[in-house]
Amino acid sequence: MMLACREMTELTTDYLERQLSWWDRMRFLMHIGMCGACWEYVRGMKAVLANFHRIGTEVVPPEVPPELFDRFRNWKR
Amino acid sequence: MSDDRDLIARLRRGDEDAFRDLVGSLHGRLLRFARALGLTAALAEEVVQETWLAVLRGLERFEGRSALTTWIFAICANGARTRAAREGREIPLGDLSRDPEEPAVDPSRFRPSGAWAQPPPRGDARPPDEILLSREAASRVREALDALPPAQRAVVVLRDLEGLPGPEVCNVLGLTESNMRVLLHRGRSRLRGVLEDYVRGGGETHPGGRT
Repeated sequence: MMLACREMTELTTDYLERQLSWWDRMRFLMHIGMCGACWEYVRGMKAVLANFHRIGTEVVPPEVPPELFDRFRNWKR
Repeated sequence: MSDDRDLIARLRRGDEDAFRDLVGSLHGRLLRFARALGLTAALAEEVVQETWLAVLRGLERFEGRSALTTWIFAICANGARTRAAREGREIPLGDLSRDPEEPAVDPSRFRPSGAWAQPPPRGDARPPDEILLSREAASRVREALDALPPAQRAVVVLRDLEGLPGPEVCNVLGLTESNMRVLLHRGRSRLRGVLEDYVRGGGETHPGGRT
């Protein structure tokens, strides 16, 4: 059975996480091979994932309380 | 995890440089994670400090069954949960019954057969891993990430920003594999949708413009 485009959009994460069964993976790949719109859909998802290092919410420059290092120094004593 | 073993040995010997490196690499990321779980900036700050103290208390007994980073994120997640509970709130993780069914794509965009009626617009033609989002596109997606429900956001932060393997994300958040994937799927689908809307609205996804 061919997967419908709508099913494809629900299986994309499992496909990218390599969690589809062998048979579902084949069906998924067969569908993208023939359907430009789903191919575009999966590309859009991959583009988001490939850009996470740019998307990441700013990592606050750590203001580590100095007491933490005192605690470490005294940790073994 | 052999790097971990070396690092843990240095920490146990009381090597302060090793501890400073660890804190330097993780402190900001733990804050981001605690915020992703829905804590305010002030609470996140406290929880992360408590996390470090708990790391010191537990380090001697840490058995290395998970990566050191995963273990520290897990301590932070537990601290955040305890803290939120003390404030009379809870972090709704893994309770998908409260999350309404959320299709990846608005169902009205499909024909009754399940085929696209309104397909995604054609993006630029580069291979996805060569697409570098423009500053504007990246900031739209970042806003969408910040606006995700906490459980989805926490999963996306750990899996996609921190790059933890799926099973470790489950350990940190105490989620089953299937719930974790549902949350990841919903979160990622929303972010993809935001990028699509941006392209549809004529926005450029690439700093140099579209090819």
